[in-house]
Amino acid sequence: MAADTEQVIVFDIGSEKFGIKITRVHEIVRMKEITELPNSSKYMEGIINLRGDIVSVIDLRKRFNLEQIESTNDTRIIVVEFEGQDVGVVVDNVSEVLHIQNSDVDLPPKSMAGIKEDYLKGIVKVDEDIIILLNLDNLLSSKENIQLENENK
Amino acid sequence: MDMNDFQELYASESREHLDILNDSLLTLENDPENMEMINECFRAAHTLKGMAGTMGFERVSRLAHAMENILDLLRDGQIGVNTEVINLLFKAVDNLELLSSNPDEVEDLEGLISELKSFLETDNTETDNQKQENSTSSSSAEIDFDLSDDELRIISDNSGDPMIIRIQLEDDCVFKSLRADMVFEALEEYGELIKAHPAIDKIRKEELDETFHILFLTIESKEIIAESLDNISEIEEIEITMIDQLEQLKDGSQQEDNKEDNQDGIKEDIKDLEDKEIEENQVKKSTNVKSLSKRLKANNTIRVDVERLDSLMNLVAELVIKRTQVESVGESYNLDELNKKLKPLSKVTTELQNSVMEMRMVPISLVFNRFPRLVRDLAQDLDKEINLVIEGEETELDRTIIDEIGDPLVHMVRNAIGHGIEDPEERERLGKDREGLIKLSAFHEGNNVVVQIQDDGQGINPELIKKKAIEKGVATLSEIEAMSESEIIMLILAAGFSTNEEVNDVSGRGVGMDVVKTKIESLSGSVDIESEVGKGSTFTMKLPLTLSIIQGFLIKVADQKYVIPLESIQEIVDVNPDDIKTIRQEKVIHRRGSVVPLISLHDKLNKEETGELKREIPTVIVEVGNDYYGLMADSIIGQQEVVIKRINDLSGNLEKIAGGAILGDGSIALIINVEEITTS
Repeated sequence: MAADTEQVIVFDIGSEKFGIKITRVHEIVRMKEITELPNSSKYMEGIINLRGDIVSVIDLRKRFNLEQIESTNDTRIIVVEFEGQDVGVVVDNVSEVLHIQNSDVDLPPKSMAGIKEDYLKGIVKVDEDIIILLNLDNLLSSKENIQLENENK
Repeated sequence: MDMNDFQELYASESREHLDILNDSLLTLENDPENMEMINECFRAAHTLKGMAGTMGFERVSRLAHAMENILDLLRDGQIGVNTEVINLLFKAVDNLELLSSNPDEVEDLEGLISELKSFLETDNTETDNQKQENSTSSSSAEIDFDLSDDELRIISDNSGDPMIIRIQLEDDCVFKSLRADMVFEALEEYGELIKAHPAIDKIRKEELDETFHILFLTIESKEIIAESLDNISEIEEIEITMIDQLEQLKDGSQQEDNKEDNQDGIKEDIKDLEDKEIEENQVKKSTNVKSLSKRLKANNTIRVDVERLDSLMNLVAELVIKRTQVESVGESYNLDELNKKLKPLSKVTTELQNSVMEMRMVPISLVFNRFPRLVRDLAQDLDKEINLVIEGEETELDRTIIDEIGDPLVHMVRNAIGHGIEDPEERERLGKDREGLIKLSAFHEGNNVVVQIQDDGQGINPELIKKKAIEKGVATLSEIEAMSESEIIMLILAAGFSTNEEVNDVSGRGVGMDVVKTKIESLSGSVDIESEVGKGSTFTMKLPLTLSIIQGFLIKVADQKYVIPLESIQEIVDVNPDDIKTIRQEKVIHRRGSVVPLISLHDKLNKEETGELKREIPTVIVEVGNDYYGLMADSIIGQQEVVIKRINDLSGNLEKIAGGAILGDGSIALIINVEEITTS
């Protein structure tokens, strides 16, 4: 693979498509029973037992202030590496793995679908779709509200 | 030392000798001509007999004696090594083991002893033994230390005078090697141990009689040395003979020469030494001194009760928690001076924690050791031929994990023999070696230890698994069709799955692979299977190096389980709602004359109150500082030992929870931070 291409895992939240670098992804598992934590804010959904390890889980729907939906057969937990530890990210479904050219990545606008620049890495157009590349580190460490467009507080 | 200490010593030492017996009998079975193994067995049985005798364990001593007699005949070549003898000896070893662990379960000991006796044609072994013992005790002047060049060089190059110390232990000394060790230790403070007779490592293995000799190099006087040994108990007599440098040692050995003929060695050595340039050997000498002291150091171990280690570890864990609390105070109030001072403290506590963890590490050989015997017995029962290969037995793991993985491993090895390895005839037909291979290995991989069980048997057939899984309702047809081959193989770990049709003694004893899986996962490990039909299977277990374990009480609040650390629990009571009083808007109860505030866990843990009225509320009374609080739960499940797992707190407000624990059924219980929940 040439140095200027990257593989990206594409997943859906609501009607938007997002991407994260495949190198950050440890594994993708089916929805598991999530143990709730007391006082856990909207930033943290709870914890799961991943083969004997406790992994904290974030629900991106909650994170983006979207309405909660029942998990479906397509719901997945993407386990990513964050600050040396595994963190699970709940997404509506994982659709594909894309090879993208770095030159195809456009700089993110000030805000995209209601998400501030801080949480964005860039955007890529693939066919008709726009894929929003997320800045995982900022997203997971931030405590502030992130709001998708067309959603009220 | 009181009798209890002796008993502990006896238990651990007899364990070692039983292991030696098991190991050497196995080796002997494969190599019947191996005299060394017969001797090894004999010595172990002899020592056991002696130890049991002095402890007053008459049955052990008689059984060991009967074994010893047979081994003596084997040693003299009066009877040959065959399966019958070996089986009989194994049976005796098993009974010896039982006698030391569950004496009540021993059946028909007399029968066994007479069975052993029937092997004996003549009963003259006892006198032989005595003769032998007598011949080895002799006075110091006759002792042949058989010194090597290097050892002579150490004597000649170091300041100090060589002396021969003869130690005569009391006749009824129970732990001779222990006493000898104490002697060595005392002597090391004053000079250099050159050699002992019998050799030091033999003495450490209890292979000594009442008398032993030490060649010792020191600048101290004879009297000081004698005095230093004086306070070691169970020593009958100490005799110290000075030797004036090499000349005398040489003379001494010449004198010995007159009495015994095999002294040429030492004389030659000394002649060689005189001829050689000492300079050219200087380097060699220094390394030799090092290796000698290293060998002595290697045995500088003490036995410590695991409980003491555990309590030490708990204290350290507590210390780490307190440190974190102090740190957070420093941070929230921006106390720079405090924060600066805390940095080195945190380094020290971390190091302390690591070294305590290290102390708990034991080699996996403790578990692996039982397999040669198990595999042998199983192979015999099932008429299979099996070659067991063990690798990486020195790999270290936390003591708790070692204790827990034994059963899962046994289960998997049984499976490998029962289901994996084919019959010898079948294997020949398939063009394989008649002998099936089972490889047990352990190695480090990052922060984990990997334990593998490999066999070259028939492998796991995914088609059979599919069929079985559907039959047992473990998975549906559509689910299975979506699975990859390796996912299908992993199904054998699912609950309710067991492939063997008939329940036999070997595998399928009611516990399936799912038990193995949950056990390993409760230890924070994982199990993986690779298999190829016709080629064999590999079971891989990944285990963490260490664990932090606490005793806790499992309770239920709303739909979730929580753990309250046992150390903070005072008692558990059922509170009648009528007894609850309200003082300044706080609910309290009276307990033994004092007022105990009640805390609703529903409230604290963000669970909605059900509103239903209960006649009795299960309440855990905890002590925090000097205050008591009652934590109201929905139900009490019971006491459990749990492994604390850190929760990666992304939200930053998880103070009430000290961590998570994975329960046997794979669900997670949260560990309550009692201090936070009572004060916040």
